[in-house]
Amino acid sequence: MMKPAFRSKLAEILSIAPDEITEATILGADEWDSVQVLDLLATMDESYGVTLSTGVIGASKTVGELQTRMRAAGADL
Amino acid sequence: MKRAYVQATAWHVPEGELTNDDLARELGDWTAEKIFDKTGIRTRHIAAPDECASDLGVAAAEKLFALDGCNREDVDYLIFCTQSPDYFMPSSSCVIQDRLGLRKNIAAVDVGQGCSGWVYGLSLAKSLVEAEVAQRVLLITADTHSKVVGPRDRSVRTIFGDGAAATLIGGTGHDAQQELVGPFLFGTDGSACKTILIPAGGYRQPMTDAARIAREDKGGNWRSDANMYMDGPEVFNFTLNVVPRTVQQLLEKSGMTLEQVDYFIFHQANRFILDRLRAKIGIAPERFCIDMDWCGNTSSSTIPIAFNRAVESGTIRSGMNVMAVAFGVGLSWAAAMIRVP
Repeated sequence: MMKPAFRSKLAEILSIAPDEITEATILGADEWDSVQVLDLLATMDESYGVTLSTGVIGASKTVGELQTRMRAAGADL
Repeated sequence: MKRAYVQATAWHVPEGELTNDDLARELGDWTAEKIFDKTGIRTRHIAAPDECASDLGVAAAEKLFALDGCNREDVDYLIFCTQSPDYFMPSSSCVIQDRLGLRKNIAAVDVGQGCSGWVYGLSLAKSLVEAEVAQRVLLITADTHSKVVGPRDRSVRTIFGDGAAATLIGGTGHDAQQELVGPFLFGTDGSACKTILIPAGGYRQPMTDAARIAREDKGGNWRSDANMYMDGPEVFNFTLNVVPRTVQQLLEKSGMTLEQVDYFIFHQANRFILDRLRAKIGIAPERFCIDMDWCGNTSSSTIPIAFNRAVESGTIRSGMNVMAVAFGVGLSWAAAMIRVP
């Protein structure tokens, strides 16, 4: 289950409503600027105590792929 | 045994300023308030075109020598920490020795370290004093990163300011029991050396006309190989991984708990990083220094500037235990416990 703070930040970055986020939602993180990546990393660390490299985030095409990689890094979600 | 101690500090920043309003006008897509929200910085001090890091360092040292008990005749070892030297050769420290009118029978050496430089310099000064190689060490940190920041690169131009600090490290008598500077912890990860980098201008990639051509990155920032590059998210990851662990290890090495440290001064990188580190480590806000809104990130000088200002304001007082934690280009990190005499 995605924590509200993380869902909210992801929604803010993607410019969509939080409840619109599903595992199939396209991230497009390889096009994000560094401030968007920083915002996500900070929220990821705060919510789950893990971070991912920018390369791993950029390679995650969907929210589901990002969650899989976060779980692999030790996140409980 | 003889113990090194921080006798006094002073600092200097150039008169020129670059405010968030200036940046908002120049860069266009960020407002002044958004720049503050993202960085915690309102203005930065910028060296004039003919003003070098050594000039800032000399000015800081002159302020130091104006203080009671700080005499230039007593200095027998000068360490100048910079990544903005006057020349490839000679060392800027030799130039500074002459400009400050320091004795000729002293050592003068440059240390090419960045954001973690003051803690590294302090460790060298402590070692020199306690080994009785030197009696009184003058450690000057100074940088002018504004000269190598791409004018249209908001990822670094919003953050860095120019500045310098001077620290005088002296020694106690031989009967001192308590360590006043230290213990230290250090770390280096050269595998990530390109995380913060100026690619061109050294011998690995000599400066050419092509190296000066700026290109746009995917975030809309423009920089050339002659400019400073910083991978902000990877630097953030690095600090989140390294700094909490370093703090814990230094506490263990010092035989102290987090609560027994009176004040924490981390490298003032930007407020975004500092806020996250403070929360992650669990340090109370009133014991954690954030003092950079007026000057930005001055690289190796952020900690001594913040230390001096905290002493001046009465936040740091005699007898306090202060932990300094530095991290940045290299990648490099270091931490030190300082007991205020």
